[in-house]
Amino acid sequence: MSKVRIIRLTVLIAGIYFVVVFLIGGIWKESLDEKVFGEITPVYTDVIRVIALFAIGVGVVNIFMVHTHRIVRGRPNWEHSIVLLSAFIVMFTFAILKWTGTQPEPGQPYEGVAGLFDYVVTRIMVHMNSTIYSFLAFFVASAALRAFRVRGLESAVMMIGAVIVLLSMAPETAFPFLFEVRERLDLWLNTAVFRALTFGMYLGSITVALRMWLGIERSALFEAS
Amino acid sequence: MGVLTGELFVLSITPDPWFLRFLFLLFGCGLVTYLVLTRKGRHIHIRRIPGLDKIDEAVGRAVEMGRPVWFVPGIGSLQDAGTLTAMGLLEKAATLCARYNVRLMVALVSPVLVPVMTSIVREAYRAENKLEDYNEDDIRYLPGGQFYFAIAAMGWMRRERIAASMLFGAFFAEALMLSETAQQLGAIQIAGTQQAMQIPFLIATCDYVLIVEEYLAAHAYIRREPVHVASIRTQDLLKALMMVLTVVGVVSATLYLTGVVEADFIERMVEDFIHPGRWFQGG
Repeated sequence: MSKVRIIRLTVLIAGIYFVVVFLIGGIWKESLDEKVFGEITPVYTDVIRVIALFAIGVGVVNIFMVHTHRIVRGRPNWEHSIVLLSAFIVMFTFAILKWTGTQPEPGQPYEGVAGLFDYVVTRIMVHMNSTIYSFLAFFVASAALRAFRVRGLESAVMMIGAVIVLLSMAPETAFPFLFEVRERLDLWLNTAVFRALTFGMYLGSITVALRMWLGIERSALFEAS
Repeated sequence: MGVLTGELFVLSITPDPWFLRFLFLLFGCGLVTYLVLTRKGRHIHIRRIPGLDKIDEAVGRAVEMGRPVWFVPGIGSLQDAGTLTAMGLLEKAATLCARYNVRLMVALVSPVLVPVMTSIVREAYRAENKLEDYNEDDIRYLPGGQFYFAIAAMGWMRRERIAASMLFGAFFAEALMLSETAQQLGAIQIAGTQQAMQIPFLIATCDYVLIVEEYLAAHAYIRREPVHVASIRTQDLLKALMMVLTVVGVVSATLYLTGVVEADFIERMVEDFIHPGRWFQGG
């Protein structure tokens, strides 16, 4: 049996279980829910977790192979590969040290080398992450400037809506009447549009999932050799 | 009234399991029916999606400018519907880039995606007999998570001065960072996501945006095989049903609130709509 067929068959069999649970779970026999679905589902989800872990493992092995190859061959920017692999090994080591370290009292930090992982995460990574996130304000300002250009009827409507929302955010005494207008724009128009988009998203996701499940999605995932 | 509005709210957000089962079976029946019809040769019209038609144009522009095409399949996981759809679009972009000798740069947020996306791009180059042009260094895993990915991706985009940007998949706050950077570089941009919250940001910065279900139908739109056409048609059928139910809900709520009909009548009607399970139980 070819690799592609194995993938399709696995997906189909795995999907059938959930469809059966969805269709007859909770409506047929209580014993079926408790004794069959209740016992099989946890095992099933464990199997899915194990497969997902294997996928992560394959990804990590792939990263090591690609970057080791780059370093050995001295390809352009091979120095970056050394940084990536070093960072990976260091963080992996710190995580192992934490895992094997002495469990602290609740609310207390890990001590010694076991605390290195938390130190790097909370003292370095969290702050760097917040810094990058704060850049977003400048990107929003820059994008808003372009979005506010009136180039047609649609952009004019959008701009008027944006101006109303912006002014309504001012202290209430400045534009009290706009507060209610903004609320109606938000609750009536915006909510309706987002619900329509949500309908589309769910239906689209169901379609993609169904095509995948039945193996009729002739995508690269199922066709690549 | 509390009961009525509560039921209507439930109808739109978390429908009764029986209603979901009914929709699921309807979807299955619709898919089979349309599949049979399309296989028999019946033509089913699918409206144009300009954003997808412009993928060729974006690659063409990169050819003219002699600069790379940039592709990000979102920051979702492998099982995300957006990522699965992005794989089909990556295949198309890679095929065009291989055909016209344009460099394709792919940025990935998860190591799990690396073997899959690498395989897709390599197969596309192989199919075009351009395997010698395939460069695995252009498919990069940018580690660290959402914002580390964003900052590394922005740096890479700026260094290589991309000519076309394609952002397809699940995006969150980093969507604006990536699209705004491409905008500043003057790149033609096509984006598609199922994340409704990111649509306004993408519309503000990109040339073409595939909105939610347009995006999820993208691969089917490109392939146009009977099964794809049938699935899109079935999706439309269900959407039409949703629209009818929405109108019924709005009209019935308005009639009740204006006192035209009694609350009891509306409640019974709503319950009959969203609890078809009672039909089977003789309720």
